[in-house]
Amino acid sequence: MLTELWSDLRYRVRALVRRRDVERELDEELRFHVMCEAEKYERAGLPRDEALRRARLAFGGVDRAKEQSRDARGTRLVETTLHDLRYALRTLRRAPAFTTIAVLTLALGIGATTAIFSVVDRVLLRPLPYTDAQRLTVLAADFPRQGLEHGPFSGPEYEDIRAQVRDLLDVAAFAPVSANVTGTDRPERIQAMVVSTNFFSVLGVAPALGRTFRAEDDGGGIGIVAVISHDLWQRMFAGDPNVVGRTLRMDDDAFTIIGVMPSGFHHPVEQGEARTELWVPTNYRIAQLPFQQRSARFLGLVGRLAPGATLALVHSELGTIAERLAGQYPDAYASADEWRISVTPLFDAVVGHVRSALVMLLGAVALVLLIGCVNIANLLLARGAVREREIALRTALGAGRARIVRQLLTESVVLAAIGGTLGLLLAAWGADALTSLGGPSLPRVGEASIDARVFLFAALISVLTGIAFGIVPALQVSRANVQDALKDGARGATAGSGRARTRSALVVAEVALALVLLISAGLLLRSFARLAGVDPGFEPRDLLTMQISLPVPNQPERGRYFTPEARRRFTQRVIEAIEPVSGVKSVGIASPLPLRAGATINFAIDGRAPMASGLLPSADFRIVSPGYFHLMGTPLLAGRELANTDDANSPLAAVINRTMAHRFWPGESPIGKRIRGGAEGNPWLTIVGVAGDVHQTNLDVPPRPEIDVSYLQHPVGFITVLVRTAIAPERLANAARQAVRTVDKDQPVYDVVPMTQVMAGTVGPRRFSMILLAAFGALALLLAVVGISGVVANVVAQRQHEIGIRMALGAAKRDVLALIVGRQMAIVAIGIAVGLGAAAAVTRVLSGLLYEVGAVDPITFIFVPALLLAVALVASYLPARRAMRVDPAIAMRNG
Amino acid sequence: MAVDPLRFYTSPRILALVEVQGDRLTDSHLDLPQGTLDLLILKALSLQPMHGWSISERIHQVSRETLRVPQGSLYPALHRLERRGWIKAEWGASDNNRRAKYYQLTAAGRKQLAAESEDWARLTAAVALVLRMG
Repeated sequence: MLTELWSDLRYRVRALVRRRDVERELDEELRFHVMCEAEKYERAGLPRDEALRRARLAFGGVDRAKEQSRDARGTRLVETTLHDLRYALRTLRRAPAFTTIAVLTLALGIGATTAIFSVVDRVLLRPLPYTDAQRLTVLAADFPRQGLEHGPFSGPEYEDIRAQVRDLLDVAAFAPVSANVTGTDRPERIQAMVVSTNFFSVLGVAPALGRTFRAEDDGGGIGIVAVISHDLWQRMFAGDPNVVGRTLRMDDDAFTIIGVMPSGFHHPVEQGEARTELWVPTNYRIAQLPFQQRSARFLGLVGRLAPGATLALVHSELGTIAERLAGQYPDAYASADEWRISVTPLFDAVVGHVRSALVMLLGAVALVLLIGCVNIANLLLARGAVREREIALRTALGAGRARIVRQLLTESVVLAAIGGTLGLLLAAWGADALTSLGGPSLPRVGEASIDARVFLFAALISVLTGIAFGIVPALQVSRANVQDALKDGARGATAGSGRARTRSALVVAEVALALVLLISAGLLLRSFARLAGVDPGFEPRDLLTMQISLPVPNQPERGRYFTPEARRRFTQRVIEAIEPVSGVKSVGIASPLPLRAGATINFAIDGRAPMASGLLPSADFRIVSPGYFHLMGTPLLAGRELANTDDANSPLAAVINRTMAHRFWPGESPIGKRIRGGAEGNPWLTIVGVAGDVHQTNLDVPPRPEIDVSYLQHPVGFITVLVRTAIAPERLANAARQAVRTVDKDQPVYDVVPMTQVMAGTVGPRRFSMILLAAFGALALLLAVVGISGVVANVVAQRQHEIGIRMALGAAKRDVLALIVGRQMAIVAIGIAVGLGAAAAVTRVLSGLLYEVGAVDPITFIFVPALLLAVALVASYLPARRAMRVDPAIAMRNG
Repeated sequence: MAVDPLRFYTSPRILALVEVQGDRLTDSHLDLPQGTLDLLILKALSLQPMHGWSISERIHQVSRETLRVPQGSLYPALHRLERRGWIKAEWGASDNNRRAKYYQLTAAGRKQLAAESEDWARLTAAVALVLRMG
């Protein structure tokens, strides 16, 4: 059976590929047959001529035998298709204007769809780079009573869960840390993960070089080993194949590299924007990460489902474990807490936050493609009127309707294929643009590019598109009446109301689809404008920011910056080193930088009882330099700034923000009042000033209470240097870096960016969706204009005869114009009505991306349809007027 | 439904019908029943490789000039059999020293011939039984 199939295929392929040879052989074979037959007759005594004639007669139709032999080859379908293709190309070449418009429309539509798909494919469709990734889950601790969701676990909690859970094969823990890597030409800050030694085996990934961790790697002491990422290996070790065994200095400790991960591997759940490039066992940073403390929660957990276990089973088992632990350690889990352990598939944890935005964009781009299809279907219908005679002729010559539909569809698919090829080029460029536009807000996109999968998608969508826009016109046109069309005086105008109705329906669809896109884009634009109008609370222009983190070795007391005095001096020297650089106006520090990260503390107010619940109020906490508010351009509302005199020898001072002053001292001045951070026994801080509100974490999150203190009194190791510049801040980046190196050459300076860029980063995901939707909306509008004006031009052309008569009978030009444009606008109005209904249903999907704009925002829902109506009016008026310039006498004669 | 007269005559099916009738008028040989041509070709080739014309001559002679291979169907049949892999073709020199395409049976073809011969025998036996009936 199989060999038969194989022989069949080989035969057919040869018949196709070497068609000419096969044809020649067939000729020769038949000629030989007739010769043999003739010789037989000759031998029987007939004269040569007569013998040949008889032989030919006996054979019957040579052509028919050939034709049937060709059929027997089983390649007929391919051959007619080739014929259809050649015919289609000829037809398209003869209508260059139509072909150009159609191909461009398709190239844009297919290109945009393919580009978005290439991103969706990378982010949502590819499996994660772990063995059996769909069996991996992420655990999180929820304390609903405190409003804490998806939080980390503590060391003891991890040990308990791992020991007790049955439905998870194993559970691994990880905690993000970052560190300075030195000893190379240029010190670097890298993102690392402290992981349990079973981490890589839970993920089921083997290293590309060396080994991963074993249980003994974690066994106390500080013989520290590290596994590095492929990227780090290439960057720092130039891909050295003998890297295993080499050492790396990280925060002044030496690490032995034991393994290199493969290039596709990445950490499952990243912390922030930086990619994890190094993994170390939990004996690292043991001093800062208190694994033994039940309430110190900093571990993320990833677990693998046991064979036969389901998410639901794990969920209920973890519920039991949480209850048991709460009963066992009542101090750690106050009864009010009611902590829970949640479990989600790893894939959801990685891409969940972008899934809806990407699906929305894919839907939007599909709408654009659909509008393009509608447009081309409309153009094809218009051409159908012209081609009626050709098709009637072919019908008369014996072509069946199916055959004609097939020919017309071949034309459509050829168009789509050409458009698709161009589109693929556009997509290759678009995928790059998308990746850079998405930036860090798109996880695991890597370098989205055009690979075999994307190519296949583009090919498939091209064919589908070709059929989608081709089928309705093909069915319509092939219904043409032979008698009418062949009659000499026949006009396209007789094409009947059926086709006109189809075309109107297509315009309605087109307008409705375009409106949905435009309204969506409008809503996002308005949100974005609102957000851009939010006052961050400081002046972000001409402000350069850069990060410095002092090293914390495994034995912190041996660190160069262990003492507060050392940290204070370092900060002071950095500020002093940058100040004289030309172009610098003033220099300060903040820890953390507003809009980049937040730190909160619980605080108590001197002389006030704790809140009824027994919990302390919380506030954002920032360590800054004297003169910080002046440097940032944040107004001081009462009291004074933190000053150089607020130093180690003077009483602790604090500035609070407006929100805090209003909430805790309504109607009275907070100046001179005392607050205390955290637990009993901490020193009191005296409030010396009240400053304006600053958005701490994100522009769309309202400011919370904030407490600012001076680094002189609270020396810190994580510093953001702020440089107010007189010139463009980017231009000072190198000079500022150099200045820091003069203070400590082993100190990496990283994330050197203008504050405006930090702000842009916070609106990244929204910006990505908005720019794309706006682009798609513009494209949809353009396509709708092309579609509407095409239809009007065609209507005028087809009704020229009638228009001529009307005008000859005395109708004014403007009346006829009003008639045509009015009818078209009625169709557009129906489209807008349909589109409004659809938009109201669809924009709910967007609500997560909107900011202070309702999903059915009245302004958008009035303004956008009005815009579309106006554009449609122009798009139908202009071609109608141009067509009207024709002399009625000529119009009637030509008609 | 009205039939377009032009279309009626250009339909390939009608053309075939006209020609078959023509054959009947000029020829008194028996036409081969549907599907037997393949069997006869395989059988003829089981003796030795042959070219198209000699296959038709061989069948004609062996059947004591009763069976006549419709020449227009011979070559389509040969190509079909070749496609199925039951016979294979090779160019060679004929008796009169011209290039001719020789067909020969493949192993698969031999198996097919055995199977079809058996089917044929059973069929004719069964038909004969029915015809002999009361």
